[in-house]
Amino acid sequence: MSLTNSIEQAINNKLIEKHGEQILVSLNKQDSLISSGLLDSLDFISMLMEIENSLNLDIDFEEADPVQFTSYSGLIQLLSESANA
Amino acid sequence: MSLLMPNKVNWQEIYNTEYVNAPECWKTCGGYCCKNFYGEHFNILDKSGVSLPLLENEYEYYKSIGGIKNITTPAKKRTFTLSNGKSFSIYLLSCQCGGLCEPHGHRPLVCRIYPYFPIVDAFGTVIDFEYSALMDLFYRDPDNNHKCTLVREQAIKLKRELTVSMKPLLRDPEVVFIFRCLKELVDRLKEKMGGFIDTLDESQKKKFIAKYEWMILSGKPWKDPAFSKRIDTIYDEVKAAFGNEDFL
Repeated sequence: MSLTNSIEQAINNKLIEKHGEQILVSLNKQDSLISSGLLDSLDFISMLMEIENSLNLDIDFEEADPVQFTSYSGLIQLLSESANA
Repeated sequence: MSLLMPNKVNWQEIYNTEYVNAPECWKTCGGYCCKNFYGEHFNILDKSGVSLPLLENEYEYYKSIGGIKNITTPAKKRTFTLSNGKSFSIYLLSCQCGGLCEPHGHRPLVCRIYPYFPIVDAFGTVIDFEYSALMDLFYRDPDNNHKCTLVREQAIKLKRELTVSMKPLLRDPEVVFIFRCLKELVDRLKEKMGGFIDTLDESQKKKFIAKYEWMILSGKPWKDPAFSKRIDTIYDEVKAAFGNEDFL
């Protein structure tokens, strides 16, 4: 499995854990996972920490645009980029 | 010299204490302490609420008396483990009451002692005070610019009163330990943030808050061996001061 797929799988797992399988059908990948109510702030961060640990990444969004890294597609893109940097 | 046996806090007594005697002060500031004045800029943190941290024993007491009726979101538990294997937990309540918590007498300690928390030595002696709300740490000249009227107008009186009224609380080594850790935590946060929010234009403010959110939630400012070692040292110092008995 590619790194991008692994990241996507980890995010999917978190969303399924919170909302069930159906959530992936109705998901708008450009929306903020937080403002859309799918994850709260602590869920979101714990998901990032799980991804960081399981995929051995060093996630640092200190300078990143929160609008990007809180959306499903933006998060996958940023994490993939940071892993390949 | 060390103090005698550790004294656990009687939370009923704490919840019956008025630490800040300033009735209706909220009328002078729009209830600043209970609102999230920078929430509009938040992307991750709750835009409309405030997070209230409770110690584990405090949370147990808070629950036992029925809590605050209009806080309905379950508390989030975060557990921290020291190098020596000891751990402690903090419960975070997400409050959107805007000052209208019901019953008001059930509000947590952090609300009762706002706008400050005490900076203490290992014995629990109050040395000074620091702002208890994290966003309040970033005013350039808080004595004059702070949105809380009490900070601007009654700081000396308030600190004097808190020094006395907090004594029962500071007989508990766990509470002393937590306040000492909190001081380390805010010092590190201020160092990493390196700026004052009231000196920034709207665009800079947006970036500052984005960085703040990431720092707070990721815990990155505190994830290094030096910080862990400092927390271990604080534990050992407080333990030594309170009869050399483990308190966590």
